[in-house]
Amino acid sequence: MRSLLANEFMKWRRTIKPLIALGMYTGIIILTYFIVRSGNEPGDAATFVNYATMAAMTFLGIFTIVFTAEMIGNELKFDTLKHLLMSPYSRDRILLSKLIAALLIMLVQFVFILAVSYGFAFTLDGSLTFEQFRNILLSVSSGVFVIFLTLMFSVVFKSTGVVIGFTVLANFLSTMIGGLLITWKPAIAKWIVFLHTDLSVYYQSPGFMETMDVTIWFSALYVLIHIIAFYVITAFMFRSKTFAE
Amino acid sequence: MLTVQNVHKKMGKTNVLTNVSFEVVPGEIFGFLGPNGAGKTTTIRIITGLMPATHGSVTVDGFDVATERQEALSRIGAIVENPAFYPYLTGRENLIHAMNLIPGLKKVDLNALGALVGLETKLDMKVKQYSLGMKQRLGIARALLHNPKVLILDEPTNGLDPAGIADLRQYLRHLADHRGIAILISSHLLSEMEMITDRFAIIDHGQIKSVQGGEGEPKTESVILCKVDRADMSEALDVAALTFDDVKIVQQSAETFIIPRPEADIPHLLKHLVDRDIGVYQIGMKHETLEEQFLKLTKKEGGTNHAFITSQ
Repeated sequence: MRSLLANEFMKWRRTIKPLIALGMYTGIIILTYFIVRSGNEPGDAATFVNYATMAAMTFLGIFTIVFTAEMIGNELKFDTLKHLLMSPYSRDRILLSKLIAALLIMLVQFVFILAVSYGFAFTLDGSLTFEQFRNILLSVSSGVFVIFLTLMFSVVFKSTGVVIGFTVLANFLSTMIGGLLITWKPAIAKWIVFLHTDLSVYYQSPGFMETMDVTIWFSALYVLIHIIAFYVITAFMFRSKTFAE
Repeated sequence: MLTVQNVHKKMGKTNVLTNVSFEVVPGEIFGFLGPNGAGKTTTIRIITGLMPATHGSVTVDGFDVATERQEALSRIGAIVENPAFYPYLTGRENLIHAMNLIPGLKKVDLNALGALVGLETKLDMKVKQYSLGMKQRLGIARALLHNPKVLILDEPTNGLDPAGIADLRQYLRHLADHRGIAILISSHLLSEMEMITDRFAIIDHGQIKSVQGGEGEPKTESVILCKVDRADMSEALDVAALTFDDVKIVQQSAETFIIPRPEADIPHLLKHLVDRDIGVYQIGMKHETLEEQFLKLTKKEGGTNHAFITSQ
C-alpha cells in the first residue's frame, strides 16, 4: 500500500497545480493580513486567523475537488488506468490508495494553511484561543465529505471537468435549497446532508443548526453514513467497470 | 507457461469470444493475428486481468488469472493497445511508478534497463517529449521491469523505424531463447509476424481459425506450383488430376496451376507430365505467405477481404 501511495504523491507533486494551490493560499492569507492590519481599528490575531483560514479554506475546498477528480480522471485521460488495473494489486487496494492519498493531500494543504496563518498571526496583537483552533479543525469535515463524493463521481463520469462540475453543482444547489428550507421547512432541511458537512457551524453559528433541531452527533453520524455509502458505491463500480474505450 | 482454455466472452447478447484456446510455451514467440474487431484485444484484456471471461480459464505458470490474480499477474509484463504513460513524468519516474505496482519487487537497475531498450540518455526527459517509437521502447522496458515469465505485446512495432523493428525482433528472440520468456505478440504487420514468430494463431469473429507452426510443422501451407506451355495446359491439368485423384487442383493463370501436395510428390508429377510430352517450364514448391493464409482464413462472407489488410 505504501508504494501505491508513493505513486499517487509522485503524480500529484510533479504537476504545477500543487504549487499554484500553495501559492494561492499564501497569497490570500497575506492579502487578509494587510486588510486586517490596514483597517481604522486594526484587527487582532484571532480576527486575522478567522478570516484568513476561512478564505483559504474556500480555495482548499475547490482544489480538493480538482485534485480528487484528477486522481481517476487523469488516468482515463492519459489511458494509464489499464496499466494500474493490470497490476497484481487488487482494484480495491488501488481505489483505497487513491482515497487515502486524496485525504492526505488535503491534510497537507490544510496544515500548510494553518502554519502560514498562525505564522502571520504571531506578529499581531491579541491572543489565540483553543476554541478557534477547534472550529478550524472541525471545518475539515466538509473537505472529507467532498473527497468521497468526488471520488464516486470520478468512477461514473469519464471527464474530469464533468466530475468537478457535478460536485460543485451538488454542493451549491443542495446548500442553496437547504438554506431556503431551513426557513420554511426545517424538518425537511435537516435531511439535506450538505447542511451537516461543516461541523464547525455548531460553534460558529449554533442558531442555524438549532432551527433544524439537530445535534453535532446527529450531523457527524449522518455524514458518516453518507461517506460509507458513497465509498461502497465507488468500490462496487470501480471493481465491476472494465474501463475499456 | 500461458494457457488460454475455452475462453468465452459474452457482452450483452453478443458472443465476442467463443471457445478461444491456445498455449504459449517458455522460449516461444507466439503470434496472435486477426482483423480489427476479431477479438485480439479482448483476449489480451482477459489474459491481463482487465476483463473477466464469461467462461473458460487463463493460467500463467499454473496460476489462474481470475482466482490467483496476484501470482498470475506478477508473472506477466504487457503493453496493451498502446504504451500509455504520464506525460508530465520523466521516463525514469514512469518506470519507478511501474516498479511500485509490483509487490515485493527488488531494486531494478533502471539505467541498465534503459540502455537495453536504447533510452539510456533519454530516461530523464519528460515522456511528453518522447516520440511514439521512444514510448514503445519505454513500454517494453516497463513490461520487462520485473523479469516476467510471459510477455504480452500488442502491436509492439507501431511507431518504430525499420532499424528499431529489427532491433526489437532481435531482442525479443534473445529474450525467448536465453531467458525462456513466453512471448505473445498481436500485430497487423504480417510480414513482421512471419519473421518474428515461432507459431501463430489466427482469430476472426471471436474464434480461433487456425494455429500454425508446431514442432516440425511449417508456419504456413505449401503447394506444388507448376508452369507449363499454354497449349498444353488442359492436358497438364488432366495428367495432374489422374496423378493425384484426391486433391483439388487450382489453375492460377493460363500457364500455371497449383496442387496442395508435399515436395516429395514433385518427381512423380514431373515424370507423368514429361511422359505425355507436356512442355514444363517450371515446377517447385510455393510457400503460401502468412498474408495469403490470413486473407484466406479471415475472408468475409461474400468473398471480400478486410479492408485494412489490402491497404498494407
